[in-house]
Amino acid sequence: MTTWTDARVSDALEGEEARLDRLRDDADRGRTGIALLRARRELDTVRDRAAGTAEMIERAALRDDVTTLADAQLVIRDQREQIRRLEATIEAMRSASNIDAVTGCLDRAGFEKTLEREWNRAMRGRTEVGLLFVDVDYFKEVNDRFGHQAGDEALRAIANALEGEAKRSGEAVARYGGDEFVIVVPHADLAGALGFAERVRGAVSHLRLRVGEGAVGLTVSVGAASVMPSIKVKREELVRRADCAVYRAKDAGRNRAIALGVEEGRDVFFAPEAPAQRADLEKPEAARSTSRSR
Amino acid sequence: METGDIVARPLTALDDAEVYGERMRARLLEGNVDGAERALAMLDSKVRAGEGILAARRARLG
Repeated sequence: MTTWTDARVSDALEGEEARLDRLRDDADRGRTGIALLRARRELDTVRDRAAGTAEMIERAALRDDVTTLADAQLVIRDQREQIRRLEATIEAMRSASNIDAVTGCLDRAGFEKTLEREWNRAMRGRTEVGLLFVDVDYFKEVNDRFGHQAGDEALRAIANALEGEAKRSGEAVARYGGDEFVIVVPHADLAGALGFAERVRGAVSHLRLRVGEGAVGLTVSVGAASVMPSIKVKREELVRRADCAVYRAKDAGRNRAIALGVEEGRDVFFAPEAPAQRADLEKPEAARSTSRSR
Repeated sequence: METGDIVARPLTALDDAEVYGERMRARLLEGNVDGAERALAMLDSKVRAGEGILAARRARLG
């Protein structure tokens, strides 16, 4: 028979096994990252060699040195084939590792896997799962005004800021697509998720993107949600709520965090503070008792 | 059975593993392959230690 003490120890072990799973995932991602770095270095080396061969071809052509020209053309054909193979390998590795090529955080497929894993864990442990949708404000204008390279820089800076906030075990940042990120927050109730959302918003609001001589500020709108997984409540419902909340944050003027909860069967939006200034939004009761102090 | 012992020892092993995990990510971002490999080796070893400790405690719990 399981005693009270045994049950408590069993819960603690369950938590530690969950941490182990995440650490194994970290190690796997690390292995892929190392292999990717190696392949990229090899690619750089081959590209350098190919550039040298191309110069040799130019010089041989100027000298009418037919023998060298023929040899160098054979060499460069091999080098181009090597480059093509390495590029394909790198792309395949990146795709299999679920790493987003631009930001280095998880990609959409990686997010789906992470959410599924945390969802199942929360089902077993009867705990809540929080989710944030983070949408970059006026991203199209950044791209249009400063170019796609500046847009990519902005996405990388924001991804770094989000990862700086999501440091607890199990928290995961992913690029959902385009200018939208998601953050999985295990064990967060609605108030905890909203508090996290507000911190994320604040962290990004301090970022400045350097463009030419000047710099532009970056902001994000954040939607938060939290559910207790059950037979009746599916993952899609968590995604729906966080998605609705971020749309509401956009509609409410951007650069803000809003959470969506459900009370008596109807959707209710919550803001983190100053409810008097945003009369259409309410402050969550749960905000006074966070299950996840951060 | 001392509950404190059972919970505390695996926590320490996994805390170490998390530190090496963070180090590995930092080295990867720097492009330092050798540093990342060293951190990964330590992470793997801490994970294995954690696995052993947790398995033993799970077995003792029955």
